[in-house]
Amino acid sequence: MDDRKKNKEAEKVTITPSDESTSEKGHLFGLDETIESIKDAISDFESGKILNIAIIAPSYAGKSVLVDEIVNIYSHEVTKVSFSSIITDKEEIPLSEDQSKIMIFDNCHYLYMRKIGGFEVLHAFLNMVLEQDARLCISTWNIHSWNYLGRVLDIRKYFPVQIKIPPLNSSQMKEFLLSEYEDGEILFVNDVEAEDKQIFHVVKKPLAEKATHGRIKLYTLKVNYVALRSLLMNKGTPDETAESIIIKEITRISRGNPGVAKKLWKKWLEYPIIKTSNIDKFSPSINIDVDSRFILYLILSMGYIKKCELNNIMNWKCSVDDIRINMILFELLNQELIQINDEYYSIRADKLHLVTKYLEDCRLVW
Amino acid sequence: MVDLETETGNIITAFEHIDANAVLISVGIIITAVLLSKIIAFVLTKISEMSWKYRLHIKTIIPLSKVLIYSLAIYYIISTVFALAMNQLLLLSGLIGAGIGFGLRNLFEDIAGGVVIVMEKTFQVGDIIQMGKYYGEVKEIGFRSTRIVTPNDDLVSAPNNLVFTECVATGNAGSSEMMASFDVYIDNNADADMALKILEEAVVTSRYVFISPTRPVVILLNDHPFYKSLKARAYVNDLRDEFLYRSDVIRRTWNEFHKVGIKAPKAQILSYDENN
Repeated sequence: MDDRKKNKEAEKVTITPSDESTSEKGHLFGLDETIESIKDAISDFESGKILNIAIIAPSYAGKSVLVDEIVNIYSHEVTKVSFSSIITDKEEIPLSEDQSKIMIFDNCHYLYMRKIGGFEVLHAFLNMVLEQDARLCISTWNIHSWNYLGRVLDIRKYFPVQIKIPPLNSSQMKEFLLSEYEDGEILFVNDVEAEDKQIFHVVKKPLAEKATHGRIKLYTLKVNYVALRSLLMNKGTPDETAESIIIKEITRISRGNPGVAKKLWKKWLEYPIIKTSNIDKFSPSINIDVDSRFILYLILSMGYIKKCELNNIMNWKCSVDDIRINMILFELLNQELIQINDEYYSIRADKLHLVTKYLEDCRLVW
Repeated sequence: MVDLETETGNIITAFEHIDANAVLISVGIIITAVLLSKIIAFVLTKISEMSWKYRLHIKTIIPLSKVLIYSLAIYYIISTVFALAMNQLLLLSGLIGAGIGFGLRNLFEDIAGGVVIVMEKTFQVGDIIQMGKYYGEVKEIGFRSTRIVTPNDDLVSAPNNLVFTECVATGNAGSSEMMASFDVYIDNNADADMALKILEEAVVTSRYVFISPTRPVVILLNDHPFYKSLKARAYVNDLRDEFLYRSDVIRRTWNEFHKVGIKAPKAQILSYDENN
């Protein structure tokens, strides 16, 4: 997000002296092995072997932080080109005028559109990558765009080294979340011991609400999956601390994604207290039509996208279509699946995995 | 021979001793079995519709559960309510089979067909099939007939014995995705390379398409005396969207053809399939 804002005006950002770099080593959590893999590929390049690298990650996973770190390490040899919105003209790609040994192309998923004629820019870029015989190209991609392009264009062949940013485990997540606080500054409280250890709850649900006006109620059993899971997984550790429960839950819900975890942390934290009762166990079901589903997929696979870009991909040009896209975006905003920030629509961090799972089930995410 | 006569006599005695109570219990068991199978089918259908990914897998259980429930109900009635031993049971089955086999031959053929469909998994609930002259999605596999919803939303009950006499084609064989192919015809003077590129991009960018290493997109060009035909073969991500997929791709393809000046043929089109 920071990169997007930073590069909003200029699509190409060149970083030269290392003292101008912005990221700090202390902010890199769980990326040590990834950085080592990239360093190995760069060493191979220095010994004459060109193996272009693709860094693949979902939104909020820390892709930009990783790229900044590489720029820091190799500041005198690197040119970073960051794309912040969809590139529609291949002339907009800064190609060979720069003489840096290593080129980093950030957010390469902005080089294609899922429409007829939407691959021209990407083809030109891939051709440029192949023509580089004395340069190493490092590219970063949204994982969903990468998977799509993998099936459609076999894009893996252009980038023999593919590095997926790994999810954080519980201990890395703890270190990451508490890094900005002093020791003991945050108080973890377990206030759900009594009621939430029940695995089954009897719930009353109105039967055919419209017809019966809620007069007839159906009794159903609701399973408390959190309690059931803790019963099955934490057997033998009944005295688990509130801190451990909260960190584990955040890691599980965010699937180790630091950006999502941070969002959940901020949502649940009532500074300086964080309670287990704040853990949001409810995951709503998504019920949207085919067009909305496809728009949701486009937002997910691009990370951040403008309304005019969505219109362009959908090939919706007339005023009726404008009403249509407004209605769809309104519905998605209303269901709190997406957010709008500075004209750019993106999936809400706390709904990222819910949306991904839904689109996987619809087979839009492969 | 004596044993057979004795057993037959025992069965006749057992049936002579059937009282109103036994009949009522039997009717109760049959009603319970019918209700139970309906409830299970309803619940499984609801669950399957909520899960796109496992829809067809869950629906597979429906006919199996019906066979199991009805078999248990019949077995329970005969063995417990009428208190027949296993050898008497077998003998009774033989007698019933011989007695009514000729009169209700078609019905028994249909039931046998239903069992074959369920056990052999010729097709499953949710599959798109061509059975006899009917094409559509299988909604229900019953004991006597299979219910198919055609693309025009007609509900067709096709007798199960068609599996013995007709070829049954299934488009997806238990998978959620299904191959959908269609042809686009262009003028002989049109730029075929450009047309192929546009059609391929229309297919791979469709919101309904599903592509994987085992589900590739294939675009073919065929030459005819007065026109060229392009065939697109790809998998639709949900078999229910087969027609929406075709419409989406064809609409966008022709919009793009118009932009680049690719025209439809002037000559009368002969069916591609007839020529191949």
